Amino acid sequence: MKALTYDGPYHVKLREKPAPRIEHPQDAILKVTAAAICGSDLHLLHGLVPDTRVGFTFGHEMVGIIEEVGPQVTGLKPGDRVMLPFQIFCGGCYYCVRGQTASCENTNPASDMACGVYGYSHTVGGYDGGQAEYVRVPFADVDAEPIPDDLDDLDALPITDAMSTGYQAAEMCDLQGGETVVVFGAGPVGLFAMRAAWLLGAGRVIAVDHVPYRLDFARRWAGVETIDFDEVDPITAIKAETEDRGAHCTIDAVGLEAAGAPLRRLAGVYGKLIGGSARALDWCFHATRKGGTVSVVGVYGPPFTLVDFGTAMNKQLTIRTGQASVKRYMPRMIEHIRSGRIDPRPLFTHRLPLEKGPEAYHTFAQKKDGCIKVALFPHGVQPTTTFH
Amino acid sequence: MEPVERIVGVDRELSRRPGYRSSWRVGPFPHTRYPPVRQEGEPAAPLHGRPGKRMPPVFGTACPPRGLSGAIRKAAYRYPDHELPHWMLLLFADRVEAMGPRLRRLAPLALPAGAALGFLAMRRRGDRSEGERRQIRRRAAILEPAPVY
Repeated sequence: MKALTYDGPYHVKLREKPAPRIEHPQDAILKVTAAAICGSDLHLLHGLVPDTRVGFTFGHEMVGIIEEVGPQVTGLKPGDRVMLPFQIFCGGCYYCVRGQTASCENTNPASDMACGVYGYSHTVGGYDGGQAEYVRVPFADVDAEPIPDDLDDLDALPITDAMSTGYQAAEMCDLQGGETVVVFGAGPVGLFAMRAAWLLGAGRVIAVDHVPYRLDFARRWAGVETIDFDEVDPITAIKAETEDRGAHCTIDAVGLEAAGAPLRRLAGVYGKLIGGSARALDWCFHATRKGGTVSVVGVYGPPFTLVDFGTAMNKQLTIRTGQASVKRYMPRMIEHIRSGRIDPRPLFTHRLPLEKGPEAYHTFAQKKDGCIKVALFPHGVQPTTTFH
Repeated sequence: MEPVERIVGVDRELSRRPGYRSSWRVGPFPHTRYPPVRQEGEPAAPLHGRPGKRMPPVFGTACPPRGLSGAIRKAAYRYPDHELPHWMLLLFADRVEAMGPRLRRLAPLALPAGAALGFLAMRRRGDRSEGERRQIRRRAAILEPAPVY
């Protein structure tokens, strides 16, 4: 089968790989009909996530059709159309029974920090990802969520990660109504976080980025105010807009490859001497009012990150963070899409066959051609069929 | 899509927030079989080195460690994930493994470039030999005794 695989830093390659097989009685094989490139895939591409091996298949946002099921799979059958949370979880361990599926303790031998994740290095279990024609799905009938008939693949695809993660980012701000929320990063997760902040009752939402077309998209799609940090100092601008105090809550939807700090990018992103460039997180600490909340969903890889933690401590900030336990968000996300409160399809500015994956990665990474998010179709590009 | 004014506060009620603690599921998910049976075979990512860490029943088998980078990875996994050498060795192994594709990508350029450099070196050597020959002839001319009439 064809798969989009890692070929050393800054390179992905379309390879022929053996098709996956049932390795555990609760496995299924999914025929992938659509897979997205996530912003966090770029951290893998750029060699920032430890134990990313040459030949490893990327992709943790995917939807498809069940092709084959193992002998202990009772809740699914071949032909079922499903979406997969990006985490792999057992459904019955200490964490799973408490809804914390992102912390499942039965799927990752390589580390205690997270559960197994599709296509995200061997640090999270070594499971091949979904930017391929087929993928192995452990605990298939526990993890997979059927896609309702009135949702097409591009509606369901972002629920598997970006939309649920963005929603969780806003939810972790514990909004009561009327607060000012600043979102750093106007990529897909940031955009969903902005829309979710409105749903949760924000009084004002401000996006910070430096890519003009993304800021423009945020204004139109998410209805937010914007700050271009190439034009103004974002902290000064935010404080000027908030009676010199700062926002009630800030969201880091950027992670470890933040722009705006050339030396840190040199040392962290290119030199890999420190864990990337955490400029957005520093800005969150400074842009939040004392006693406020910083919500972090941008990805930070081990081993260590240089951040201004003294500011966070002195300002009595609450820091909330974590991978979204996607499974528990899925029903609410489906409801929001059906009701037209969130329409994820305009974010998919690039819809391409899998073979175009290597070019798509570079277009997405370099923010060229107005790219917001890429959907790859391993079995042929589908026209969208559902209209809201 | 609904305009912002019509969606503000739709999920303000805590009961509508999936991540709010009281709305977390308590109990196994539907179709759960617990404890799961043990998967056969070898994991691609070995168990990390924390004493007492148990092998989970399900694991990935994507790219088993191999070659020099594989040996470094195996050394890395002897350390637990709360110790720095674990991560630094893994990053080092990544860089070592990435040399393979890098050299492969350079090969189409490196072979013609090597041939061209070799050709230039040989020509230079040839030129030097010719120069040396001229010098010897000159010395010979100087040393040749003048004819006596």
